[in-house]
Amino acid sequence: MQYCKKCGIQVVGAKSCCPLCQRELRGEGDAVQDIYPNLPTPKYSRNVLIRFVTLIAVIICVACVTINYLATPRIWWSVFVCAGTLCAWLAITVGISKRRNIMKLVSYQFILLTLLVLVWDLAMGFRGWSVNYVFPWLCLAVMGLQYIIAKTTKKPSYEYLIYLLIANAYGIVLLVLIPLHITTVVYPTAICAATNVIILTALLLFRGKSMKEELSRKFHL
Amino acid sequence: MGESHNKRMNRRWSRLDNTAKIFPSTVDKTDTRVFRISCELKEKIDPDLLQQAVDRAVKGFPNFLCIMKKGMFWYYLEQCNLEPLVREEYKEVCAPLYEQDRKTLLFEVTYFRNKINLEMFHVIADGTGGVQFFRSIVYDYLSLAHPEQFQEEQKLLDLEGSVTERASDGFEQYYDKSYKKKEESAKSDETEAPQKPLKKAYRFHGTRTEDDVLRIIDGIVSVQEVKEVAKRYHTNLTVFLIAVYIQALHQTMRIREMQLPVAVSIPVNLRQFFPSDTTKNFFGMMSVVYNFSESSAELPDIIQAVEETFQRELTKEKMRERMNKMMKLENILVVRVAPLFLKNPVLRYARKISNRKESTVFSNVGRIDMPENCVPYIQGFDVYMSTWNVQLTLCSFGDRMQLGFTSAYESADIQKNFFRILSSEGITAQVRCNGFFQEEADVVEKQVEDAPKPKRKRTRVKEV
Repeated sequence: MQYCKKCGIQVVGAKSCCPLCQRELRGEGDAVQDIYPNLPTPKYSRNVLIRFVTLIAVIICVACVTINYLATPRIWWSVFVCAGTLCAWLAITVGISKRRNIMKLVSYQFILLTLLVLVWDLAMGFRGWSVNYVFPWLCLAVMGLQYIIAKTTKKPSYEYLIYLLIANAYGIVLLVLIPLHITTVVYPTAICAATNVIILTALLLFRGKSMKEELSRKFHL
Repeated sequence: MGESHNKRMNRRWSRLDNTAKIFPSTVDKTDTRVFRISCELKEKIDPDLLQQAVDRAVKGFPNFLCIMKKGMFWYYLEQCNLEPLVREEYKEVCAPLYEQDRKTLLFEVTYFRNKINLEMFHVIADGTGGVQFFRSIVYDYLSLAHPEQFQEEQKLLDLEGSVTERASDGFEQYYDKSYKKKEESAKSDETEAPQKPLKKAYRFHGTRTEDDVLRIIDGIVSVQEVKEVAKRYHTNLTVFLIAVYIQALHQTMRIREMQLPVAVSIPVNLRQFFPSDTTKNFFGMMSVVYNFSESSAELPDIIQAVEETFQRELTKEKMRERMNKMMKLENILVVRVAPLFLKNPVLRYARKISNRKESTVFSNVGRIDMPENCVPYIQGFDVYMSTWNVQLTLCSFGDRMQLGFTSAYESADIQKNFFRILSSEGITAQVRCNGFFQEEADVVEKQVEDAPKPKRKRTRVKEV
């Protein structure tokens, strides 16, 4: 066994120097006694993709603003490019960070897209195209997508019930906007809500117990 | 249809216990909240038998077969059908076990040469619970490897409690809402000398390890030897080691830091005061504070101060008080109804504040007992806990005591001081370390000269 005279310790395994004071060791080492495998130093490459995407987004924005400022200083078209880039960046980063659970990913994108569309509509003077057309059709599209994912991944229903419920709640909440006169073109919302009521009823009838359990899990205080 | 029914049956879930609630939010770099218990046998590990042993042992602890998920307000544990897979040790000690959206068990069994390792996420169990599970694994392994020695029934492992008792929550069981209103507690507060609330404790400064790998240095000593030295100082083993640890920390302090107290946090197993067979977290924290600007740096004085703190703090009443405080905090309505994404940063900040009041953690897992027929095959047990700075975790088996330092720093000065003090008292430690450091890199490159550090210093001096 190796030992360090200065520290007064014996050193197990074969070390080049004392682990405490880094002095030379005396005695013979025995690598067989090492209690840890010699592992390669772990390399954490976390979020590299997100960093790349962020850099590209920044490059686009900075380049556009610079060109805009130098070439056409009177019209600030680069504001729209930057806003669009920001939206794309948000969607991509959320997509990367939720990539492991595709149902979750769809739901996150669904909510994110809703917010972005609303901001765009508001920023452009709120003509109502977001609430009138985008939201109800988006909701129906998401539900279709969820159906396809559920059928292709063949996951047990409890894995994604909560996400179906989110889409259902979304579609039915849209109805509230009609009496508030925010939604002016009624038929997309009506179709969307009707579909949701039917699907929700089916879920309640056939997956009621699972749904209750899932809700108590997700929302326990 | 049968299969899906089965899946639904397994979908039980449970809340995190009071202590565990803060863990997932505050996982950070080296502080992965994963602890490791190892057992060194006197023979090489057979992976197939170990797999069988784990499969058998886990039947007694079905609540460990779970994954952690995010709810709206709290994380929760969900039972799952995943099977534990035994592997050869393939990553660093106490590496993270939980990753968001990844379905993995929160414990892992690995082996290396003669050694079986169990790593657990602190959310599902504390040291005591982990040791119970690990004893069961080691027992099952040895009974498979040496069936001739394990025939008589009375030699079965003495597991405490039932499956449901093991899965119970000790905090919920002993939480008394009306506690604070009792008069006696108010009285005792008055009679005690008012203690200044600790704001900032001394904390070791150093370069953090590369790639956030924990630096492991542990020493094996003889329980008898340490006991004898402790006796010479008229104290017990735990108090003696804490005092040595405080002195080791003192030797790393800068002069201008001397006015800062050294605060050693010590997890206390609450089961000794409040009987429970739970394997979930059931511990409280106490703190030993020593101020070198007010008191001497002599070992006997430190020992006396530590002993006084133990007598004052390590009582059922004090522990109950602290437990109730923690439970009250969890049960505040605002805390409960805040969504998790708001809670996480708040909990992280709270942890940062509480870390300021802590110089280090000293955790004594205690004696690990095994049935008589297992003893001849076992060399000893080792324990390690992940940490954001430096922690000493220890356990003993027979006369073999393991003092396991985990550290987030490159420097091993605290450990050096600690083992040198022990050595000056006549206790020789057998030191082991993991290989992620400079000296190990040197071995690989066949450069045994220990020159690089001083060289750099010299050139820097020249530049100036």
